[in-house]
Amino acid sequence: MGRFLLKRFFQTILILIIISILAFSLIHIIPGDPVYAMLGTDISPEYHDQVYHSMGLDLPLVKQYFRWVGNFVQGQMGYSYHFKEDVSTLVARRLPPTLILGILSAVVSVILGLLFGIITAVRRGKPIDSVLTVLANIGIATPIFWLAVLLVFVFSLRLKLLPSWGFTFPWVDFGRSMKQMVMPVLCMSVGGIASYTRQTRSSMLEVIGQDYIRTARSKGLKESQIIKKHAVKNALIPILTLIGLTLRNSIGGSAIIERAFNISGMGSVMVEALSARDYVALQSGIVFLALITCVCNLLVDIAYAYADPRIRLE
Amino acid sequence: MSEHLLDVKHLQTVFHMGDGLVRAVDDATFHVDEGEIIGIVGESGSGKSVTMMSILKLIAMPPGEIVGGEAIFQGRDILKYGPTSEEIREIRGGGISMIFQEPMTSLNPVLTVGQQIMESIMLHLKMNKADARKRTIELLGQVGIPDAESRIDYYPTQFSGGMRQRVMIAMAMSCDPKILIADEATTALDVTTQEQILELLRDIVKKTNTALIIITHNLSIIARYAERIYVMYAGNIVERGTSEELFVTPAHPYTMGLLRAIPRLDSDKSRRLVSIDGTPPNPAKKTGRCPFYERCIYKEERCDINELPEYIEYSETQASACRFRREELLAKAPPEAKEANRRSIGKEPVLQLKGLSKYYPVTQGIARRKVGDVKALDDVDLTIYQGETVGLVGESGCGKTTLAKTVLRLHPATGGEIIFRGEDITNLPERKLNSIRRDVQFIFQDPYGSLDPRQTAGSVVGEAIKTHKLAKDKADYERRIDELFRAVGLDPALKNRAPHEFSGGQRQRLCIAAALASEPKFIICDEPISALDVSIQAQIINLLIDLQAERGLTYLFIAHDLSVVRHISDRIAVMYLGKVVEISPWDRLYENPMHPYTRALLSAIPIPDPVVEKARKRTRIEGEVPSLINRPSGCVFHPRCPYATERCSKEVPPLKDYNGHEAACFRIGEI
Repeated sequence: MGRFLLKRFFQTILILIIISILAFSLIHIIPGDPVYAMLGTDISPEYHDQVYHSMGLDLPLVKQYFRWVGNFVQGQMGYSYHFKEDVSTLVARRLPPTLILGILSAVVSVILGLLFGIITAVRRGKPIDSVLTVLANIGIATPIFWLAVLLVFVFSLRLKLLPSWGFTFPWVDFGRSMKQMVMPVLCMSVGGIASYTRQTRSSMLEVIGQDYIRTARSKGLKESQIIKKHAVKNALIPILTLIGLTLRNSIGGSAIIERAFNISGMGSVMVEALSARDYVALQSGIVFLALITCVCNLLVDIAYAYADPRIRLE
Repeated sequence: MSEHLLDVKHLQTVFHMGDGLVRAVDDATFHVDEGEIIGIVGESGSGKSVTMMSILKLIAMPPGEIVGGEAIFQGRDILKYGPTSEEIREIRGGGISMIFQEPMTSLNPVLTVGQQIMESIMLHLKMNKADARKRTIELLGQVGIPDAESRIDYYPTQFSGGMRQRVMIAMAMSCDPKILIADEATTALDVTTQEQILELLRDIVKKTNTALIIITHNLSIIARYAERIYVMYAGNIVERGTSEELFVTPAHPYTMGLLRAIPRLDSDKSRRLVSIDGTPPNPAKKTGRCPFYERCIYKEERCDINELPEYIEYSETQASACRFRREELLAKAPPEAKEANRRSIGKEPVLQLKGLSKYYPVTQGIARRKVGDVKALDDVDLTIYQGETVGLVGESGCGKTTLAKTVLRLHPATGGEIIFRGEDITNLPERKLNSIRRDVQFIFQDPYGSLDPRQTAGSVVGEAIKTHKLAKDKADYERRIDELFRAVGLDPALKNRAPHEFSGGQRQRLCIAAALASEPKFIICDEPISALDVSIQAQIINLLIDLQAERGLTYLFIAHDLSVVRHISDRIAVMYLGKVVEISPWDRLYENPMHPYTRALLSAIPIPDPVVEKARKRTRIEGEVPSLINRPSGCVFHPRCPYATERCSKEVPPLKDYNGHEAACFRIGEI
């Protein structure tokens, strides 16, 4: 177990190094001069040279990389000419809302998805299975932006129950925060709930057909105990892999939701930075996304090893 | 009130499938008394497992449905209880418990064995956790699991197959059931392990006066362990009786046929096996007629009516569901056991292995540093002559299949030489191997997995003809395929069908036809019949023997079943952990096995005859085949050998020749 985790930890570090190299090269891969690309061509040559020098672009590549990494680790991610502030303060301001929404929607989709999946598997062929399975298929097919518009139309414009935009931290104003988050979290988790329902259903059905479930039945256990104690833990193992992807997807894909509900989060930073060719912000954003993904994957691996003794004991 | 512990009468179970009704169990009537061991024997699909699962309501309902009969257990008809009712759950595990076939999949991989046994104890015996744990440790000790106190917290993956089956036994026995059902409980195990498990089961049930129902397709096991036997065929119990009665005076044509069809350790091998032709009826298309009608050699017009035959009782215990009395059947001409085809064995070696070795590296860490070798084959010498059949036996993991694959150059040898018809092919480059590949063919164990499901039967068989460009034109190609189909006893009209439309036996015939397509000289048969039903096995063995005589083939016949190997082989090599420990002409190996491992292997195999069986002297060995990674020093067999000395653990005994009978053991003269 310890060796397994150590191995996975080193692999994670390796992946982060590779991604940081890729993110770093971004600025050098694009055609043309990065400073002109960022600031436009109508700046004075003196200003260009000043920025060029301040970004360290005149240093040798290897040195530049290490300087960039060193600064990054210390929290200095450079100055974004587009957002007109330090990237570190930008990220500190814009990442938390995205993280909160992402984690919340991941939790919601996992819990509801597993629950629906288990119900549909246990009640296979019954009306509730058909209803939930149809809903899950609809959920997978529903475009998020359309759902967002629909929800705003119904709950904000017609029923006037929920605010249509904005984000407040729960510790600032809990009630308002919750009201504002209901619709974004719902939109972000619909796809997850739907796909978890389907995955859990098929995984559960497979497990229920296994010999050890027959063994458990032959011992005289109650069906509910068999599901709880013998089936669910086995069925979760393949689902765990998906959970790692969910958080990354909801953070990576948060741009649409942030735009729809007018939330200033990390997703919109990335989109804006990309269209404004703000490589400094973009580089840091990529590394943050990679970091979150890697941490999620590492957590999943730990959970995996915990859930499956066959891996733990290897 | 019934006087038997369990009394099942006219049990009938059907499955409602999409395309109609499958009548899995037509009419099962049997009983078992306290402390008795009974056997239910039948081929796959005969309904023996479904019968047992029906009694405990463990079949999936729907699609399954129990449509008739009763099962009186301790005075109550337990068929009346619903599948999830309180009453039936109390009986499951508490009154009647089961051990299943696959020890690898029958235990939950994410729970410790302790948790799995304890939950049963806490449920039925209402013990608290601490007491249940104590009892579990005791039980694990009783079933022969060493160091039970710490092993109780192990997961199933940490046990070998045999050990897992012991855990299953402990679990099944944990709540003092009245009846223990062993559903093919030893089928997946090696012969020596199988013997250990069955002995353990017998000891335990005799000690606790539990009734044991052994369900198996293996007649020999039944002969050794069961007191009374029920023979099932196509959902019906066709014959019942004590084991003496069934083996000495069988009365049903199916029982008679089975006994003739299986090769025995003590049978005359100059005669062909008398196979039962045809295949069991499709349970979805069953009529009310005698289920054995299609395959019966004694059938007459009066059997062809839509009614099951009545039982004829021969004694208090024996009865047979056949319209003819035993004497009438015997009066009809019995099937002549034909003389086996004669063939001559040449002096010229076809294949010579000299010091052949195959090591797999063991690596460690991220850098995959090599830390050792798994010696799957270690210094193997073997010569096979023209026209000969050499049997290669040993338990799983002993290197039989590795040997076959190395000879075929499917993976490279680590050391030694492979000489095929005088040419060293050990390191022959891939492009020059083509002609060798034409001459050496392979028949695999699993006829289900080894045929490409997306090709027609004809193109599977014809592939080698195309590869080796043996056909002159399209017509010649088709003619050759038809010929091959006929050679293996298949109708050429079937060649456009997909492999899944064939039965197991027919598929193995297809595999044989495919192997013959390139007109090989030498065929390696790797467990070619072990996935087939008993009544089909004889058909395939006879086919292989006939083809050998017709085409002058040379076989390397790999199997774990010593009775089959004995029947087909001229010489036999016994392997253990990558080493050949004994090699000799077949008759001498069976008359006078020299190596202690061979002796143990032979005595682990029951003879399907209770009278002979009781008189046999047996050598028994302890433990299981160790993993190749922890290969013992010196003689690889010494940790399990009852005769091992100091020397055996230090030196490797060489293969020594005793007048054409070679064995690798230091103590041959003394033991």
